[in-house]
Amino acid sequence: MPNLVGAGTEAQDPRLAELLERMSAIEAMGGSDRVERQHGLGKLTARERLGVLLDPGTFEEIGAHIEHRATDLGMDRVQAPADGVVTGVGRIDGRPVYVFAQDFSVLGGSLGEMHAAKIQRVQDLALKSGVPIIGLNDSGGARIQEGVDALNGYGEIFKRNTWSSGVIPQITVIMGPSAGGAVYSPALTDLIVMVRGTGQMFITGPEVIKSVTGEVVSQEALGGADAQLSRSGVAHLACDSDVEALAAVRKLLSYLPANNVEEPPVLPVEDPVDRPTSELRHLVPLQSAKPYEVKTVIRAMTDRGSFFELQQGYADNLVIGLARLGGRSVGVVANQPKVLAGTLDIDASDKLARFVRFCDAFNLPLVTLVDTPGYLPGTQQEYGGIIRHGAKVLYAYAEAVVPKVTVILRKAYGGAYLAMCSRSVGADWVFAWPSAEIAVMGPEGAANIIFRQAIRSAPDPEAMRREKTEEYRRKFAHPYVAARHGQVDAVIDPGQTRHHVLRALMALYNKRDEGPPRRHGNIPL
Amino acid sequence: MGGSETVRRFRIRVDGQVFEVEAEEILEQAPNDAVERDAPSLPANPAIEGRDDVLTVVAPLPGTVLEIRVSQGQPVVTGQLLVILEAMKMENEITSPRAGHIVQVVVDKGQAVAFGDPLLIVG
Repeated sequence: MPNLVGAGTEAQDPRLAELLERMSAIEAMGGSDRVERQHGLGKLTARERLGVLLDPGTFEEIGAHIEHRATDLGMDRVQAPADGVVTGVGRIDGRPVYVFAQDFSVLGGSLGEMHAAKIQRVQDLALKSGVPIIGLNDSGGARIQEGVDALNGYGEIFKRNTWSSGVIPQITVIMGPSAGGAVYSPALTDLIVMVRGTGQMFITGPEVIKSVTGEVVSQEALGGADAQLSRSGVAHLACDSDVEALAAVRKLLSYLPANNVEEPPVLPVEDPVDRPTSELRHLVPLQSAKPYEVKTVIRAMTDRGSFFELQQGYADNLVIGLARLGGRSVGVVANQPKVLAGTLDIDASDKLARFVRFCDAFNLPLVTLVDTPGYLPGTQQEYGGIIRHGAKVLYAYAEAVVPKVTVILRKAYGGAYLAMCSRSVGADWVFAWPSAEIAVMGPEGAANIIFRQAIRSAPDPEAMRREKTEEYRRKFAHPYVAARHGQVDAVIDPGQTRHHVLRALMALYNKRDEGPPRRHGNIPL
Repeated sequence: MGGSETVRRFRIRVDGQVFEVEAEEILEQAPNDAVERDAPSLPANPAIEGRDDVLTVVAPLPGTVLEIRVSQGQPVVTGQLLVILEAMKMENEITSPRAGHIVQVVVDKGQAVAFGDPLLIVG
């Protein structure tokens, strides 16, 4: 409601009465029937969503009176309160955020010229003011009656998404349909949160797919939260309800600065910086072929309860997430030995590179935990372009200017060693556990090549192979060669991992390391 | 690739030079790689024919079956260890994607499997 304190309820000035009347019509959205239908689907209305997302009483609406000005196809008789999108600014944990919330109860949340102009307006304000922007999407798509003006509206939004990229955090919540071109504004933002059962994204829907390819698929199976989270890697989080998704956005923002020239917020922390991480001493099995859960390392070394995993379910051979160390936000990247042996593949490379660039854009130091046997072999990977995708990882790490701390837990071989934020691609600080194996390739592979002749001519080639493998293992499958050559700064007790990493980060927070001036690099996409 | 009975030999003359060539007739629905590879490892099984309530657990990466921890008919819970697949010098734990029972164990211990090969069927 507009601020009418002092207006009094008695003997109202008719001008104020008109304002009140107009506002109550706007706040009624698409009317009680349509609001009820929205609730019936388990969805909140646009205004209810903003109420849940923002700190109470902080919403300042912009353009509430805006309506469409289309006249064709009967649109001159159609009333569309707020033109189907509620826009403005509010606060989350006291910090300003711009918001837009599409209102499905008004013309299905469809995007027309003025609807789009409202979104562009908050995009412009957010970018100028260096304030994050959050979009709550729930829309049937382009308003067909408004034709090319609606399309133009999308294009203007995409352009602003791109301009804002890397300047202010842009977060999208998919809380209803988002189909066709409408998916590309979310896709251009930093993070996508989806609501299971109601949030769906696809370029072409089930009916078109059926008519063209004959495939039969439901909307949810095609573009629901789980499909876009774990199959396509489009979404970063899937939540069970509107309220849960909006809470996730608040939590995400707690790790992020308002823009690319601010530092992320520092939260008070009770977890001591030198808290021992003794549980990590026996985590890595003595047999190097055995898997273990790398998230145990992440949870143990970061501030208690601060690890917030993103894209869980997609390329789980690589774990990414936000966390805090000593109250300061960091981005964590880790190979997962439990999944696909912790190999790097196409999807893991994409996931990693985009996250590293996100962290770099928003001043989040990077902590990388390494345990990978290498790249996933196979024709599928090679034909799929693992060279092109894998190159993104090197590019992203080498390009990043934020503090970069690497901890080598176990396997770090060959190209994958280099890719996982090695000293040479730009790590500021490299730690290794005593279990680290840093070499050009694994002992078996290396022995087979170096000692091929000896193995072939031995009376018992198998025994010779084992002997030579063991010899190589003793010589190279440890961290001390790399440490001797300065590729590793310290070999540390896993029980002191938190303390070591925190000390390194604290010494790096003022790091300044800008690259040469250029318009932008040419990352292999 | 294709049955040899579809290959025929021809002698052709180009600018006075004689070439002997083999031509293979491409049958409709030529077998693709996936079908060729999968078909022999998964024999027709009337128990699962046409059923969509069963899930085939496939090899997520190429390797060797090191251990099989379940047997046919055994009930399993989501996340239960089914097979250990040695690949990339790592023991990869393949777990059950759902609760149910083992309809069929497709592979044998020690068997080499390619990416996407069926390991077992959970119903």
